[in-house]
Amino acid sequence: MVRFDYWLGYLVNGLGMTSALAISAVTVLIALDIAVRYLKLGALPWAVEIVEYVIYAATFVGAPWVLRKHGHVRMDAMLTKLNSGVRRFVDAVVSLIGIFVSAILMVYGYIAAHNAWQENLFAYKSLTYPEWLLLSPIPVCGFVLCLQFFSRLFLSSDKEAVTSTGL
Amino acid sequence: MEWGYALLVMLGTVGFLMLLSVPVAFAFLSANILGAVLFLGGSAGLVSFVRGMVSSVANYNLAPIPLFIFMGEILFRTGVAYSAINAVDRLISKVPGRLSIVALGGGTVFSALSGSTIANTAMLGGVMLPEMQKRGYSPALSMGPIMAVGGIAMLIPPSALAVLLASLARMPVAELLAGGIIPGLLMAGLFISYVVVRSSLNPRLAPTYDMQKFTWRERIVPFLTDVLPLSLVFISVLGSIIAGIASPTESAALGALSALLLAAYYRKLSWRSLWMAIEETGKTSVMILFIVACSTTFSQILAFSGATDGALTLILQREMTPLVAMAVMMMVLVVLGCFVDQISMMLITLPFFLPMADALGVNEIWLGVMMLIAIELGLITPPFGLLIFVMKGVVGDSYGIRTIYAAAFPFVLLELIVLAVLLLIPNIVTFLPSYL
Repeated sequence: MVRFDYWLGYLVNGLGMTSALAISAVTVLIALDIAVRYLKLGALPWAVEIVEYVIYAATFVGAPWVLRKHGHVRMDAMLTKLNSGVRRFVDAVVSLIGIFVSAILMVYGYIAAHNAWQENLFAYKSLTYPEWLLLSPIPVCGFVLCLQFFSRLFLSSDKEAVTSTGL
Repeated sequence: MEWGYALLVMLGTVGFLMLLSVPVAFAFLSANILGAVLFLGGSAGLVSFVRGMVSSVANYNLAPIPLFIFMGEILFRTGVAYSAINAVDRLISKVPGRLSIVALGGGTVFSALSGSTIANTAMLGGVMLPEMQKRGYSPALSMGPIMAVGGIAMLIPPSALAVLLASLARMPVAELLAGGIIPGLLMAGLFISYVVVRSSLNPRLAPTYDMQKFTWRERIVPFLTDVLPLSLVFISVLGSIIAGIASPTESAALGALSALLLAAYYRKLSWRSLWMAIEETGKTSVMILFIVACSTTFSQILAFSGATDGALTLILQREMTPLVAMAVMMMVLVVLGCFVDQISMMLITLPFFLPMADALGVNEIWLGVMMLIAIELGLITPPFGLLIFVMKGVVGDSYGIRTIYAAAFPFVLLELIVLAVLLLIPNIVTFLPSYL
């Protein structure tokens, strides 16, 4: 299990870093769009769409990473007051719920993408994308979230980080 | 009462799972899956829910959230913000409760540069608190102002939470950001006045001490060199919106870029600090946007099942005036804030508040700013105030959680006063946005 988590860490951290870099790259793209427009060098009509899809994809690709880092905000103040046995039990229940809903996300994400592929659906804006491609981060996210919750189920520790993530 | 059943299923599921400490995003995801199965036709509803997740976050109007967070993280991780606080420290002369005023002044300056309340509290707690403790400041005048300044960060642009609220409630972002400025400054003024009065009446709470002597030049120059250039960030954000040069998203990108340029100008930009800022921005942004994605059909299911209309009809039968309705809405938020996090508060209440405000003709910007203040109160109210726990993390075992609650209490009352003033005089909020 430890070995599984070790390799999972590579996958999840890799996805997370890609997500973080993509989100920061949005700054550069929007600034470039403004510069091009005001310096009258032309226009980047696709910039808005790219920003939208990067933010969307980065959110789903990065969600398992945030889970691994204990960064998803949760009301754990009550949990910390319980003794460690009960806390482990509650943590296991939370992980099982996580596996269940992530699996549904994966399955129905796949069905949505598969339907779009079968029906040959495209998103027509400044750029044209096959819809299955746009939907594909969701089943991938569901799958990796399942793995991460599965890992937490067996490797849960008392050293859960205090949630300090917020605005 | 079919709608009552729907309301119970949706809100009950979210509430129960959050109490079980299921992460907020997954609590909403579970409720939506259940709602889609029960009210949206099972499998077809689930496919439609998944498709809706794409459009909920593939939204240009949400882009300022990561950008505002990035802006604050850059200034925080590179240490530029610390220099600004040192400069404010030099500028303020010997006044009662001096260090508390420096914390409030420095916090207000950083509020105009950062979109993150947590970063603000963590930074001020790390920088100011040890000095305050060394000088014998009481918890009430050391931890209290540092936690309270978070509220100012949420109101004064750039504010990531204001952008999220505007996006979820479909309010104009620029107007909501502008609407927070005067109430934010009002709050800062009230906090400073409170500190001065309280430490004048009881000097033991904030003992005076011999300050290092500085000439006027030594006081002014750090302000001119370390604080004034930072106004470039604020001007980039708000100035570009007011001048009509950029949309709110573009202004946020300009702000983030100017924060990067300033960090480079002060020779404080390193690969390490840049990577830390990128990583933290990614983590916080993904956390927020994933909640938005997972809660995407929550309000639609409530509306589709008739829960929104049913609850609204019941409320409107009471024939409330807009003022009473606003007071009730704020009370709901303040109570909810004791138990629930900021984003969940918005997601749970907006499906009811928006149609209610619409039916009663309440100004949306007034509602938005009032909501931000009420939501912010939840950060410092027991038992689950997030900033209380951030502060506990900063002070370690030096103070118990009850002492931290007590330190926050006077500022909770002051914020309630601000809320009451804005309730009675909405023009304080709507004055600036009316010029946009």
